[in-house]
Amino acid sequence: MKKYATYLFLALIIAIGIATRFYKLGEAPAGLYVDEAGQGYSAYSILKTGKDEFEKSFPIVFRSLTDFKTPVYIYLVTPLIPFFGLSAFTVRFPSFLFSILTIPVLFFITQHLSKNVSLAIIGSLLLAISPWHILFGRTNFECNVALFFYLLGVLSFYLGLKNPKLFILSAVSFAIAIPSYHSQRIVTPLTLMVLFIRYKDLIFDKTRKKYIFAGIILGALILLPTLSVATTPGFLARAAGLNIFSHIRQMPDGFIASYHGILNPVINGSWFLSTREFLSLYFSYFSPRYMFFLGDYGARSSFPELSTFFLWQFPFYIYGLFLLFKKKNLGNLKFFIVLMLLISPIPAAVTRDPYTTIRALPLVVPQILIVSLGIFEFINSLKNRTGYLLIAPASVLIISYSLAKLYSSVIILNEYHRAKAWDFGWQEVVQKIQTLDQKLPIVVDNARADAYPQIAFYLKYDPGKFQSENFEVKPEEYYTNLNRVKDKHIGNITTRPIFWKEDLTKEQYLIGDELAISIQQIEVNHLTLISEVLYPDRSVAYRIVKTNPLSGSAK
Amino acid sequence: MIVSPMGSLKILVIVLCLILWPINLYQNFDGKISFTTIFANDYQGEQLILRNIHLYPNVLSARIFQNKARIYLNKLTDNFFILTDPNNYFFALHPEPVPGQYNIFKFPFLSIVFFLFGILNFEKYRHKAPQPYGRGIFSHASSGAKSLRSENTSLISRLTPGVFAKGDKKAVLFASLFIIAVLSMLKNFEWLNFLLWLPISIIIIRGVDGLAKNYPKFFSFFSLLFIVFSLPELIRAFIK
Repeated sequence: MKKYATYLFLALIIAIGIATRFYKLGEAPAGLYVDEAGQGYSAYSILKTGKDEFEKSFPIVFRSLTDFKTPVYIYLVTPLIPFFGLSAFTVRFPSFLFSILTIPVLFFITQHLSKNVSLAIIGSLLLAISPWHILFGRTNFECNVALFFYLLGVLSFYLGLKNPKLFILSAVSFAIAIPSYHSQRIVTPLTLMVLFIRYKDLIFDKTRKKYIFAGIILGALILLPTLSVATTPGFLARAAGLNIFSHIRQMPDGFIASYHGILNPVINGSWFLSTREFLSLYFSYFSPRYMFFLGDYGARSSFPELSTFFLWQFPFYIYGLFLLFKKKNLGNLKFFIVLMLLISPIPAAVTRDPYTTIRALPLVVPQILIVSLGIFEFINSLKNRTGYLLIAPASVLIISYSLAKLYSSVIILNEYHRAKAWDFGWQEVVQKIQTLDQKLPIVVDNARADAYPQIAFYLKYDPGKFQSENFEVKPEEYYTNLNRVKDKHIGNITTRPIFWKEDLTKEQYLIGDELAISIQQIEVNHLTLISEVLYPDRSVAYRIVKTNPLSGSAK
Repeated sequence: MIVSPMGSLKILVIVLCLILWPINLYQNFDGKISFTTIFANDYQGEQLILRNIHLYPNVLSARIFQNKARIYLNKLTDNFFILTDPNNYFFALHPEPVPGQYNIFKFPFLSIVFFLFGILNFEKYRHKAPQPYGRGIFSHASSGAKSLRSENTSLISRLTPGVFAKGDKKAVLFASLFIIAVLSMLKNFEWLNFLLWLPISIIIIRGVDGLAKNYPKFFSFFSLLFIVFSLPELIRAFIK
């Protein structure tokens, strides 16, 4: 294929990638999930005060809702706020941008490793229309940024074998990937270890040595802040809470609680149950059932009626797997696919959730390449002219169907069925709040879910004021003290659970979901219904009511 | 009859691999086998489609993605992927079992290694016509590592004479696909999927045989690990 034609195809594929990710970016999903708002407000706080909302200057991991979020994404949002404002679009933009940049990176990796332009084009096209990759390219998830830097590290590593200066870029990219997302703390070091072992003779020869050491030093410098907090409870909070080997919160799968006999250490032994659980989770990431039918169980990490891959890709996946193990001439591409295939699910498989596509996002790359391999060989196997002539219309038809399916699931069904999961309604609530009598206190119920990040976000509340009104921990205990203060103050707004007996005794506004403030409670307590915010399916998202202490309801 | 240590180990591994499903079936079988198909009327499914249709900008686009055929296609696809999911056979469908079903353990989870080795080398397997039964399958099975290198006396040909005759790989493959296709059309195939015990067992035995032949040291080490991890699974089958 001629060079200009190749780049024309690549440009077209990137255009498809942009269209599938940029259309209604910031509007669909219509809500703004608490983590997205939290990251956005942290970025806003850094921009305005140089500190996050807990008064910590330039944190290495962000305390947020004591889940300690990775920093790279938040620092990427910060400089965007002066240009785009504090909005859902802004907090989702880095994810979009890096998911687009991943497409050419995958193209060049595939082209470089396979020397096969057609395969690279098929691979990048599949990534451009991949439901899995699109989901995280339209929403605020750090995993997409991490995947870009990880792949850039791999690409520049391979290019560095010819042009050693690129080892420095590789080291920098890998060093940024590690603090970009939790999973990369496992994936990147394992990848580096395997790459070093495989290419040790090449990378440690005289001409390349100095660049390798320069890269290692630069990478270590970038990682230094992360390493400085790596042993703190905050840094480890996520891993400690979720991993299947920790039985503080939950016993391993298959634990027979009713059995207390002498064989208990054998049949209920965690050595046995945890191994089985880990392997079952690990293998599920390769299962066609999850890839082509079930998808991710999470309402925010999947689209309705759409799995991580399109169903039509299933036969090509099976054929591609067959080819992967049978074909001898795949060279470094085979090594790269197998490496990513084996390493990528590990961080996800040590956590309890089934088939979490967020944590296993790097897996999209080898699985797409396997499908691409199947498609490429299938096209190649068409011997006659008629077969070749059918390829173009068939491809157009399949891509058109896939794009229509994406529209159906991402724009139409997701908005209707998943509005609650995306915390739809807070923007409308905040708009109503601004019309209320500001002299009266406002209580926002947070018994089931935190709401302060969304309120502070949509109010664009002065971070300096927020810091002075709220105290959680001293800055020196930021990474070590995991105690959390759930009640938050934002001017006259307090987020805390509603205590009916006390709260009815004074005149104020109460805001909560349908469970917190039901129609019966409004009648019994003589509350005045100010407003209702509805989900797209017309069910009640939030109610705003005013108490009437003089009506006798407080008795 | 002299049984070599390798031969004994192989027999033990194969027995442990194959007996779990029959035991769990015997222990849990409730006698309810249903032949109801997925094509029975689904009122709830139809209501969901009717609810979704009005979300689309026009009837044509709605009909492409929301139609009655999709209800049955989804059920068929669901069943097909359950029946082809390795987690169904080695991890009782964990992490997402079918609600309301027993989801019994079918093969010890570490036997997935033998299964994968068997699958990956399925194509490589060259078989010559099996010898007569005269000496009994287990005497062949336990005739030691040396004899296992001979294709003629390999364990698989002894355990599955006739199945692995000329063109036999295709027979196993097509038989499995046929069973899967038929079962996919049933509403509940929980007990009937035992029909797949035989083809899966053949692949597992092939895996055990191939590993022992090609990687005897790894096989010995892994088999010990396999036995240690399989015993709890076997004991658990008897605990209610």
